[in-house]
Amino acid sequence: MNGYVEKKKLKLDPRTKLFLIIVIATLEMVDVNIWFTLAVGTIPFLLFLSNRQFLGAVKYFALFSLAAFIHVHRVSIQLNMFLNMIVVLLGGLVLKLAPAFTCSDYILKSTNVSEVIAALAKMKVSRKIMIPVSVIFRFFPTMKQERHAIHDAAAMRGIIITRKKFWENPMRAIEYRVVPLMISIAGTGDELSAAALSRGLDNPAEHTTYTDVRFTGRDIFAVLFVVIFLTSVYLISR
Amino acid sequence: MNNNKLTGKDLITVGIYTALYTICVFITGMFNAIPIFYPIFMFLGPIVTAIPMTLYYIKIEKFGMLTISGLIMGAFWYICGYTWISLVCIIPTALLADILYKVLGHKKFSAMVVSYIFFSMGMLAGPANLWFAGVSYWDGIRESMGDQYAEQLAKYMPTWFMPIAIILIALGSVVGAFVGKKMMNKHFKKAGIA
Repeated sequence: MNGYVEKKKLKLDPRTKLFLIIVIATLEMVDVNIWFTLAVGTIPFLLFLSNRQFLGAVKYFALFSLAAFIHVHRVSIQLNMFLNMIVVLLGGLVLKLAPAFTCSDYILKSTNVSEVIAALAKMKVSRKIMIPVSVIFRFFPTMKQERHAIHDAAAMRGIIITRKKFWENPMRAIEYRVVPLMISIAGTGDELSAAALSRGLDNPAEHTTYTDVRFTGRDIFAVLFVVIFLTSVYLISR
Repeated sequence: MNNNKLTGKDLITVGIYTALYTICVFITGMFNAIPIFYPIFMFLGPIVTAIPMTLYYIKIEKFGMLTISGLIMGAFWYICGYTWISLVCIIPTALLADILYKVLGHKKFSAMVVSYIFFSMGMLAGPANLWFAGVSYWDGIRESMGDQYAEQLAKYMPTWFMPIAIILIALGSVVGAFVGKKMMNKHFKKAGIA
């Protein structure tokens, strides 16, 4: 027994998450009215809270409410024409795109690779799709780390976008950013495929897994909540 | 082992380079925060993504890898909120790129350039989305701000933007392919990964 106790998180089945994000990505593009958009935007916020990503939740809340504020007051904003357009368009873009982006961030942070594979296998997805998807899931966090490390190194030499040195030779600066990333990822990738192949990735038989993926009461609750919440908002606000 | 079936190794390669491609689009996509910068992105995007794509193209020996990349990216951008337009833009162009690369011959530079031009057309998903969303946006603007304002606005976001975007992407892809080749000779061969 060690003293570490994992904080309670609401764990959802990956399939439920997929369903939720498809619902959000589809509905946020439907122009009903501002209330409906706000209701769709609330769901990623709740998901963030359920995964204890409080900082992300606050940032998202601030950004989204700012965008909603701009959207509501877009007629009365009096700036110069060009600036006005940028502000209004940006607000609109945030309103439309932020919920789904946030939701994908939540999914990446709350799901591990074996859960993804188990869920995809249960959905009878072809292995041709399954393997690349699981590799991508495995790689996004790694690439983020690498990118930050490379950014730090570049910043030390002054080749970041805010410095003069960057603009002396922008293409060079981009090259210095992308090429190291590429080399390190290609190396990691080779190791990964060697490891995966030696563990029998190519075996055509059905693979077993320790990870137990199944629908629980929480999933039913989440789906029902979202469906009822959105329909009622839609009906009331219409 | 000289068959045309995709092995586990190929599929892992697909995963890695699809992820890299997406990240590169993301990095250059920062310009997209402001719609005026779309033209820059259309030109710069294919150049930057050419670096991972050259590596990817070198490793492709079988039909189907680019298509799977396209399928995954289409689904990914759909989930990220780029609507059905992303599916319509990305999947057919990837399939077309795959067919062209197969027909013109794998591992040939000329085939790579042609195929890459079509693969890059998937980037149209971004502006196309804005363009389609724009139509309903125009109506809203026209109602709330009057015709004059809307017309002035149209100067900055013209409808003839799409063909220009296509030309820009094609140009960017050709330049990008050469940049990628240069990078290949300059860095990757030295590092021993190509």
